[in-house]
Amino acid sequence: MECEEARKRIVDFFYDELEPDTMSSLQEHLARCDNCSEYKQEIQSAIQCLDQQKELQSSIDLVALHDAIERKSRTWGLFSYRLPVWGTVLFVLFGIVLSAFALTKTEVQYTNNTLTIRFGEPIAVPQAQPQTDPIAQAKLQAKIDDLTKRTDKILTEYKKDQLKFQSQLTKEMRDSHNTTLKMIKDYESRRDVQLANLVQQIQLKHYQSLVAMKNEFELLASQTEKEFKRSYSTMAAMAGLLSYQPGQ
Amino acid sequence: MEITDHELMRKIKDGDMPAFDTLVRRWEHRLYNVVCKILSDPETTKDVCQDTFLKIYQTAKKYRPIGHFETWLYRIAVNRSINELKKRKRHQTYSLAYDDEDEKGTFCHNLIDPEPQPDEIVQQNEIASCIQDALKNLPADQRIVVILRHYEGLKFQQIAEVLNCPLGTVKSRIYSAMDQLKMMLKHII
Repeated sequence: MECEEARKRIVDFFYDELEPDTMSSLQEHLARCDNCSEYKQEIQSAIQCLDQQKELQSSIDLVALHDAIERKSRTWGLFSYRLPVWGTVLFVLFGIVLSAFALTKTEVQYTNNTLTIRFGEPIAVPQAQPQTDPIAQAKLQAKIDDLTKRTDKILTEYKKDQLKFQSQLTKEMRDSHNTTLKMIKDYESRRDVQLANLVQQIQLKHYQSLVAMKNEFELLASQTEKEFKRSYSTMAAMAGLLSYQPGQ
Repeated sequence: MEITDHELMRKIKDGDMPAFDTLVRRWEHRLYNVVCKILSDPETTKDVCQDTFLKIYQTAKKYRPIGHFETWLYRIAVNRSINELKKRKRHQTYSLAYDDEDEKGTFCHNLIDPEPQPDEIVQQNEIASCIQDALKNLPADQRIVVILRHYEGLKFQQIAEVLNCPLGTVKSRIYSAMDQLKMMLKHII
């Protein structure tokens, strides 16, 4: 056994931790090594010296201990943790809230003493865009042109009918005037009862002519009005569909 | 026949406060002795001891009667003492009360015989002071091992369990500690 090993075993020996097998080796070493023997004496003296310290005497204040237990038992579980634990918990919660704000793209604004919190991105309202399909526009234009032509045609026919009506009316008036002149001549030559019948015939013919003219005129007017209404409603509908405002 | 510590812990687990008081009374002096020697500060020692017993009460429900009760008790107390030492080291505050001569006299009063002669009192106080200083000058890990082995009579293996470290570490610490104590106490041996 070497000295270094022997000195460790000396400590073990005094503290009853020495293996029985090692005891004989230690004794052999101490018998031939003066330094280790002296070391053993010094360790023994140190241990005896330590023994001189008596046990300290102090009692636990049981009342204070019971109070502490009472306080702890009243405390709600989570609040019994120390500040670092709470700090960590709050930090993690704060991180989660920030992450949630970031993920939902939440905006927090404080203006004019008003707190505004908006979750998510602003909803984009689609703006009405004018129809830009060239084929549809061409078709619409063709339809409008067609309707315009039809309307113009109707207007032309209407004007012709008006002229015809005016000429008929003029002829009728001329005939009536001639008949009236003839009647006046007969009345001046014969001076008989046939004058009354003649006047009656003239009046009847004139009346029938006026009625026919009136009916024809009303028929033409109603057709014209109906056609105009249909044409313009169709044009307005198609123009509105393609955001086209006639007259703009 | 005296009731065992394991039995007391079982009763404490069921909310038996007298059993807890019995346990405290049984261990308070030994616990105080260990903690005070580690911390060298009577006031802080009382707080650490109370905190240790409080911890024992709170964890009684989880207690398993495996191994030595004292190992578990000392582990709690030593860990709290080490935390206290770390805290003290961080704040660099030392107990002036214990360094004060009057306080030292009070402390040493506990170490002497009931009715010694005045010159014996002075001599014993000096020896006690030297021993205390020698222990205090040891590194904390070596001091704890010496206290548990020398004053509390724990085996090296038990100390390893208390400190949760290998047996070899405990042995090397006590060898180093005895080497240093031998040197520091040489003048009074």
